[in-house]
Amino acid sequence: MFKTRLFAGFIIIEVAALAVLYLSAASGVHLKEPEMSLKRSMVRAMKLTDIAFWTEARYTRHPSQADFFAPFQDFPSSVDHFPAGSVVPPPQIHGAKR
Amino acid sequence: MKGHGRIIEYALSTLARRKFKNFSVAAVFSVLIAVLSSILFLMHAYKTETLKLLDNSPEIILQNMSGGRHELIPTEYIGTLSGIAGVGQITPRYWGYYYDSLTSANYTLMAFDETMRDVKPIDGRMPAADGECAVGRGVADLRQVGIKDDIFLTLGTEQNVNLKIVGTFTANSAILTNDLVVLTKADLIKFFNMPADKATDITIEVNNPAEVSMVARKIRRTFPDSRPILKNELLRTYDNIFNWRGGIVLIMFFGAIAAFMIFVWDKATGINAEERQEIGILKAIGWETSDVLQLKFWEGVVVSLSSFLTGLILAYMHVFYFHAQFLAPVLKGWSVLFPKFEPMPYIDIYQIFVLFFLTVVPYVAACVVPSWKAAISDPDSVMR
Amino acid sequence: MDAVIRTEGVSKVFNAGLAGEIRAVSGVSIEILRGQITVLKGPSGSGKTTLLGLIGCMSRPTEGKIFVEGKDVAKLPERFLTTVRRKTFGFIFQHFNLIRGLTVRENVMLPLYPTEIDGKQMERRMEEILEKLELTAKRGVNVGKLSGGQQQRVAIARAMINEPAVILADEPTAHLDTKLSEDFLNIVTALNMDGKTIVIATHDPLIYDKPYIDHVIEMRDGAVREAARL
Repeated sequence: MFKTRLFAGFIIIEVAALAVLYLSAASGVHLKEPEMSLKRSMVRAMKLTDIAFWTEARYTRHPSQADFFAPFQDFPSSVDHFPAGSVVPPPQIHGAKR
Repeated sequence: MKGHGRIIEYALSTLARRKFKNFSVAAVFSVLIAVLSSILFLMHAYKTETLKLLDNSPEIILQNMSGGRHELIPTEYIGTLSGIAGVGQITPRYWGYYYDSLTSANYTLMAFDETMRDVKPIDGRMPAADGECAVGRGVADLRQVGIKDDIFLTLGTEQNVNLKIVGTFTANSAILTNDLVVLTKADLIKFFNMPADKATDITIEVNNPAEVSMVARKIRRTFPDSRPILKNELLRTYDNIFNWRGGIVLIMFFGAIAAFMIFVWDKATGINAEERQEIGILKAIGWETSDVLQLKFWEGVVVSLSSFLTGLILAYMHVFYFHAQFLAPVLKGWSVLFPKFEPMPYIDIYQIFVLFFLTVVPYVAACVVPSWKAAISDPDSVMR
Repeated sequence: MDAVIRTEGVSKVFNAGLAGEIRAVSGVSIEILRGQITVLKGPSGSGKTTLLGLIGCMSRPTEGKIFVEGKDVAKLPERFLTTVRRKTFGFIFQHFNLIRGLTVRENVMLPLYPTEIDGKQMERRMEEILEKLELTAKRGVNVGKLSGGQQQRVAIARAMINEPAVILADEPTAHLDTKLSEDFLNIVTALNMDGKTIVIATHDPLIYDKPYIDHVIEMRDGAVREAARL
């Protein structure tokens, strides 16, 4: 039964590790709750509508308020495609600034 | 129970005999799970945080439209708006974009309003007088400035301001404030050369959340040129963006997923002569069909369960301890000014279960099903 | 003496109705008596192996009846057939059919794994048998590293572990030299002394010429040509 014990031990260790990770995640969320509530009141106070992830274009900085005619974007719940939506930055062609 | 225990033991012996093959399968399986769950973890964490934050956004943002474009909105609208039943607080917002040619980055300039006075995630304070400003972490880092430093913004000879930084937004609020420059309304209007009777847009609170769409309809009727954007639409947009980004990455990994599926399919549709022979031997020496299937079940469980758990652990470490280094560029996208922040460890147990049922269960099935045919045939084949 | 196994007009047809139809065994009626050593003799292709498989419940006959301990097993469902196979028979295959990569110990105990037998009892039984077959020193060795004679002894040990009433051996000396074949026969006679019924399918004269063989059934083209009680 040696191998079974070894396997069971391995699985128990992994499950325990996952449980610890999950608890640390939960406690992390809990610990950051005050920070979150500060940020939430910041959103309220500053009347923020968008997150500052993609700052390259109007419709990516404020996807929720994009123009109707922004590329591929004809609906407030539609999504961004270009350029901050792309994976890589635009290329630098002949030393031109992007 | 004795019998079951020994079958598990034997399953482990069987796997140990083909160490290299089984380890390779488990390694590939683990990596696949790690990649898939990294994507799910990261997207879920971003999405949850974003939606939780933006849930506090104004109920309605009213834009003025002209020629299909977003235009500055006349502040005189406010008087009419306050007459609409159900409308609560109405606030004009003054803000705009500024492309900083020095750093090749876009900043968002925003006018200070009294309601912002007590915003907490800030080192220093909000601007109190003309010529002062508070900047986001990203702006401060990119321009290499801090509190008490000056920051000069220019759009031409007439339109420029020199601002003293009196506050920087904290790094952990970067998701909201990274590219912000908050200055006084007078400075902003002067800098952008905005007409005195116009604002960028107007936020409207609604007393009863259930009436939001009705209020929006009334506004549309009163101002046919305007475009009310509801908080619901805003949240839906973000929900979609993150789902879409996660989906794009999943598609990029489609090759890997497909390869794995082909591998599982290959396993499911045929077992090799050696395995068939072994099943025959087991049957010949007195194992029942159900014992053989149990053996194959455990072989599948051992490989897939340990891979699944390993993959989850790897994914968790990758996303929440190493900030998703391998996936972040793809998942978050690209910007000159990109917020540096750690994703909040929001985890969706449901997603983990879905992943379990989409990977472990088919793998185990692929181990058991093909053995079925070999296990129900007569064992005398081993005599030939 | 009573018959452990009795067949009545047993036939086995492979690929029935197809172009390559083979009538491997055809209308065989034999009796195998308890406590005897019976030899199924005949050239290759005479149907001895198929018949051995049939009486060992490894496959079912196309026609006819097979009685094991007085019970007709020809029409038994698979599950019961397995039980009969496990409780009554121990097999020694021509190619030994050991599971490669496992130790002697694991190979010998394999038939008992799915049973409810107690672990300690299982170990004790295995140790006894290994000692009898002089394999004790080899118990932890991978079977792939053993010589042919040793592998066969492991196969015999595996056939004995579930304490069967009947031991079936298919061409047991095909891969052994004379010395090892003699060793094998010594083991078999010893088992026979302990009261086991032995059935050996072979075309090796070394075996069927031995004086202690009780019963020789000669087969040709799937049928019994001659049965001699010696």
